[in-house]
Amino acid sequence: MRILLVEDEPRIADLISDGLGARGMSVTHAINGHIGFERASNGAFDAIVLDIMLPGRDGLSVLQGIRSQGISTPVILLTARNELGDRIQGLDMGADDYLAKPFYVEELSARIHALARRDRQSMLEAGALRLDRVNRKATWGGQTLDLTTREFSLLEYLTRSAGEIFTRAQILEHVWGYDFDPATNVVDVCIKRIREKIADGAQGDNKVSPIETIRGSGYRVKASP
Amino acid sequence: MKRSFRSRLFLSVIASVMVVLGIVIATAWVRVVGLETARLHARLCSEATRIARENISLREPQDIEGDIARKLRMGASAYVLVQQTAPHSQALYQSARWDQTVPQETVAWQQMPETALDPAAQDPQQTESAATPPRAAERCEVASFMHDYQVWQMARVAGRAFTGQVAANLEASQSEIKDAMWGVLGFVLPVSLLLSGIAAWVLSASLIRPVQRLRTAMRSMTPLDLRARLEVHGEDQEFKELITAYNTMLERLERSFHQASRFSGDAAHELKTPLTVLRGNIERLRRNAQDAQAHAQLSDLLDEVSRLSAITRKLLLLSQADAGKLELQSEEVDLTQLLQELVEDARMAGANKAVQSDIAAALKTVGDLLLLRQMFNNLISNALRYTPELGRIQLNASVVGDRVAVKVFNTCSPIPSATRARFFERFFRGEDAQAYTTDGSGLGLCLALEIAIAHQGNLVLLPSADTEVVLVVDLPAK
Repeated sequence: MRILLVEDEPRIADLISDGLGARGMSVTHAINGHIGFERASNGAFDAIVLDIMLPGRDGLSVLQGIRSQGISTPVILLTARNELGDRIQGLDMGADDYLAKPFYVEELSARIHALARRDRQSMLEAGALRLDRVNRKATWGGQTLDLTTREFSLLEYLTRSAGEIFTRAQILEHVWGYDFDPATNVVDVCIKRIREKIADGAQGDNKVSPIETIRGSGYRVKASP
Repeated sequence: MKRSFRSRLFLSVIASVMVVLGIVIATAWVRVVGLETARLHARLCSEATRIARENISLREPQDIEGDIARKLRMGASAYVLVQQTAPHSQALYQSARWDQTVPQETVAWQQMPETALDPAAQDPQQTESAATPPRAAERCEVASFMHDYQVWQMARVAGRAFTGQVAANLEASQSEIKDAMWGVLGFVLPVSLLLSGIAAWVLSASLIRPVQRLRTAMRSMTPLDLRARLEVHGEDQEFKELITAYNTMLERLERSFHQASRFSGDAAHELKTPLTVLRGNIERLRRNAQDAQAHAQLSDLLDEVSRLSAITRKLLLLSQADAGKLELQSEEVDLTQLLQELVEDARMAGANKAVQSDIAAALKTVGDLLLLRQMFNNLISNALRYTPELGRIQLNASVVGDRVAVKVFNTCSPIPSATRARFFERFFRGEDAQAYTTDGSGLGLCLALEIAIAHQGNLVLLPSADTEVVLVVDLPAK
C-alpha cells in the first residue's frame, strides 16, 4: 500500500514512516505543502496523510488543490485540538477522516486501512466472529449478538487489528472519543458484557471467548488461524 | 443615609460659607455699633450743651424729648430723657421717667475726647446744634447704664448756668441700622448660600465626573477585553494622573494576563509533537517487545502518556477560554442522546453505585458537540469519582422555558463548605478522592464551567447537605 505523508515535523514524520513501514506500507514523505501537492498530483497513492499546520502552503490548501484536480485518494488530516475549525472545514473540503495529535500510530494505520479498503471491507472476521460493518450487526458462530453501539464499536476496533494488543486508554480513546475521561473501568465492564453476550448463546468450542485479556497490557481479539 | 462625597462636599461648603459670613457680619456689627455709639455720644453732648446754656423750663412748647428724639431720629420720645439742674440745687427740669430710669450714683462718667465733638463730623441736619459747639469750659462727659436690660447712653455738660444731662436708649437709636442690616442680610444671606451651593454642586460634579468615568470603565472591563483605555479629555491635573495610573495598571494587567494565557496555550501546543513522538515510540517498542513484563510496562507508559495528553488538552482549552478564544464548532446537538450515552457509560463504570437518570426526550441545543461531551463527561466522571461504593448518582435533564437544565447529583462523604468554595479552582482536588485515578487532573470542573459559559450557559454548585453535591448546567435550548 502506498502512502503519501505530508508532515513538516521530522520526528513525527520518522515515527509515522517507521510505524506504517512496519505494517507493510510504503511511505513517501513530503516536508511541505508545495512538495506534497506536487507528489499527490503526480503519483498514485492509496491514501494521503496530511498535516494541517504546514509552513508555506497549509494542509487545507493542499487538500483543496488535490480535490480540485479530481484526485479522490482518501485523505486523513492530522490536527491539533485547537484546529478544530480546520478539521470541520477539512471534512467539508473532502477529507475522509481526521486524527488529533497526539495520536497512536496504530490508530493511524487502522484508519488508513479502513479508508483504503472501506468499500471492500464491509465484513470483518476473526474465527467464528463476523462483524457486518454496514448494518452494525455481529454474529458469533452464526448466532446474532445483541450489542449496544459502544459494544459493537469496541469489538470492531479490536477485530479490525486482530492479534494486536490494545491498552485500556487506547480503547477508550477510540471507542469513547478522546474526550472521555479514562478515570473509569468502563472498558473492563464493557468487555465483560460482550463476553457474557457471546457466551450466552454459544455452544461447544465457541464457548471460548474471542477476546483475550493480556495481563497488565490490555485486550486483543485472537486472529483467525 | 449613605455617606456621599458629593453631599459632604456640599454641606461643608455651605457650612464654611455660613461661618465666614457670620464672622464678617459680627465684625461689621461691632464696628458699626462702635461708630454709631460715638456719633450718638457727640449728639448727646451737643444736646446736653444746649441744655446747659438755657433754662429749658421757660421754653414753649415743653416737648424737648420729642424734639431731641426727632433730631436723633429715634422712634419715640420715650427713648430720650432730659434733666437740667442749676448748680447746687434740685432739677429745674427733668423728664417724667428720669428718676426711675437713670441710676445716678452708679454711673461711671468718662471724659469725652475733644475730637469726637468736631462739628464737621456731624450730620448736616444737625446744623442747629452744630452752631453751638461746646466751649472749652463746658467739658462733656459720657456714660452708659443698663435699665430694664437695655443699654442707655448718657451725656452730661456742666455749664456756667446749668448742668444738662441727656440720655438716650441705645437700642432704639440703633433700630435704623439694625433694620438696614437685616435688609442687607436678608438679601445677601440667601444669595450667597445659593451661589456657594451652586458652586459646590458644580465643583463636586466636575470632581465626580472623572471618577464616574473610571468606575464605568472598570465595571465594563472583562478579562477577555483588557484593551480598552480611558482617554484624558479636559480633566484637571490630578485626574489626568489618576487616569494615567489606571491605564498603566491596565496595561500591565493585560500584558501579564496575555502572557499567562499564551504561555499555557503555547506550552500545551508545543507539547503535542513530543507527546506524539513519545507515544509512537512506546507503541513501536511495545509492538516489538518479546516478554510479557516489558509489554505490560510499556502499556503502563502508554496510559501515562494518555493521561498527559488529556491534561495538555484541557490546559489548552482552558487557556483558549481565558483568552476568550474558545472556538465553538456549533451544530445542533441532541442532548438527550448525548446524556443517555454518558449515563450508560456511567452505569458501566460505576457498577456498585446506583446511577439513575431522568432525561426528557428531544432535548436540543446548539453548540460544539465535542466540548459539550467533554463538559458532561467531566461532571459525570467527577460524580463517579467522589461517590462512595453503594452511593447514588442522579442525572436529571429538562427544559425550563427556553433553557435546558441538567442537574447532576451525587452522594459523597461529607464535604465542608470551605472545600466546596474551591470546587472551580484549577488543579484543585477533593482530599478524599478515593484513589489516584487516571485523569483526576483537577481541571474537570473549571473546564466544564468555561465550556458552559462559552455556550451562553452557566454551571453552578447548588447549596445542599454536606454529603451531597448538586451541580446544575444551564444551556440555551434549541
